[in-house]
Amino acid sequence: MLDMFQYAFMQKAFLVGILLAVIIPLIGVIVVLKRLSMVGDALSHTSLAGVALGLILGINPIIGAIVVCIFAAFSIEQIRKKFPRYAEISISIIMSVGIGLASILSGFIEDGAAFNSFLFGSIVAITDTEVALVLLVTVIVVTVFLLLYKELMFITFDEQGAVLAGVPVGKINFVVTLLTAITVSVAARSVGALMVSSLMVIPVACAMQIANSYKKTVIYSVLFAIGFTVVGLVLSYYFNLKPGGTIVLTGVFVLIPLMAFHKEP
Amino acid sequence: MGKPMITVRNVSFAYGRDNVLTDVNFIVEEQEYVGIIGANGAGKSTLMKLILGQLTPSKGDVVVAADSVGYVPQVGFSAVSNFPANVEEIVLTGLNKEIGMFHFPKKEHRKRVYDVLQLAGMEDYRKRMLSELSGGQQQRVMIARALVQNPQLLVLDEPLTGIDKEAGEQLYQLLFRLNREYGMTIVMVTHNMEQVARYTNRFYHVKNGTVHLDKSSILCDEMLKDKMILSKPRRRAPYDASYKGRRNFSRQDAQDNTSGDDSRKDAPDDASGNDSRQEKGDGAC
Repeated sequence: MLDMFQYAFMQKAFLVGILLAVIIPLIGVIVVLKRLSMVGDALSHTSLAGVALGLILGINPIIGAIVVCIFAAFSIEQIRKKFPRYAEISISIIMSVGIGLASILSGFIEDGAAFNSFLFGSIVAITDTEVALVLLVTVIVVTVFLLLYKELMFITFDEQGAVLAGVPVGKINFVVTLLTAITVSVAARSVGALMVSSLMVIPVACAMQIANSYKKTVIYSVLFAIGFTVVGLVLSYYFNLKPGGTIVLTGVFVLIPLMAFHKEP
Repeated sequence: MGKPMITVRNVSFAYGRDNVLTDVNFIVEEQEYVGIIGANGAGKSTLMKLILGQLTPSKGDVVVAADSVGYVPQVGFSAVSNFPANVEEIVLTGLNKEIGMFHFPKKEHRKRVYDVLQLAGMEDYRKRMLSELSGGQQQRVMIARALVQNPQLLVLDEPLTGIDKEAGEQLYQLLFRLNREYGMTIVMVTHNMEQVARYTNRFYHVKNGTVHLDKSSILCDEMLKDKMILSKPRRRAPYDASYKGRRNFSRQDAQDNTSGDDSRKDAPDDASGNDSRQEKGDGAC
């Protein structure tokens, strides 16, 4: 099995895959528990508009995706405040805008293959610059998550109570929104824009079936994501499958029995 | 007369053009247990938010003389009750301010969580997930979370939501005890008139944008005044950070101590649920 590691592209694929498997569920725990699971979906679809824009303007598509994603993420927050009881409306609106924009802009791209690689990801064709970018984002996300661990839990559990307790909820939400947008954009390149949100939600859903604390929910989410990534990459290598889709489906195959055997309290 | 803990003076509040409260006046004194009742949409939640400082009155002012306020939100909604955290983690969020940003809880913080859970009768459940508990137990956990920060004022929003009658009774007894034994000022927003009448000093009706004192509760207040602690608490709370006495307080201790003190004979019995006010045949008080 170790023969696949003789290839530099597979080494990079494993490195980037595992780094993303650490940070995507960390963001996932927050969005899932805030009942905004579809945020990842909306942002990843919107990131495609950024990718298209980057390819048209001749700049790095990931930078284009990050800029558009950040704008979309803050727009979701703003719209969410207008419909506090119907948070999902904001997600639908931004997702519609993102998909519409991406579809129009894609018509102006000359290199269609480059755009398509962002749809389902190309984890085995990652450049050294992209590895460095993923590494940098991982360090930032993990550091912020650890430093704000208890504040993030407080906000996701009881935002009103957190405000009363003097937690700077607005500032922390701003940071989380920013990190969500950046994580989704960076991950879109590797696992594919259409599958980022699955990796954000499925490991958390698996962890919630077996964890008996918030801390364990976070740890298990990361461990599940790492497991799905490693198994998915190995399967994709030996069976010549698309890595992004294989990783996500591995997660789904684990989630189904966990849900079946989990007893509702 | 005790010192005012909450002073609401000529307060009006409107959401846009909709007047919710008009020229509201009332005072809650230290160590009082006051109920605020009213139908859904009457404005009691708005009044509570004004007291908590979450809303600013469009006219008049609200003065709260407490350094720290414990707030107990409604439970029974899936967003709160299905949150994947255990009881200890939930109660620890009450110490967030004290622990400080970028810091992690220490052993002493966990000890305080244990003590306050013991007071709420939930110490055996501290490693259980919140979603595994009944509505009444979840509400006790939320009260413990509010108490762990050692507040001078406890504000509860509809504490009986989603809770059966028996669990509600136990909850009221816990609050009654917190008020009687530890002198905690409590303001409870609810639409459950029966329980409010039994346990609180007095209660206010919120109706048609105004707040008025229930006249029957004035009578209760006068009758109970000699029994209520309006000067100083009878005991220091075990969750109080400055408390230097025994830390391993238990419910049994409370009952033992109570039995030796005549002045406390009117406190309801935890196990039996009896209340001397009932024994005297005055159901309304």
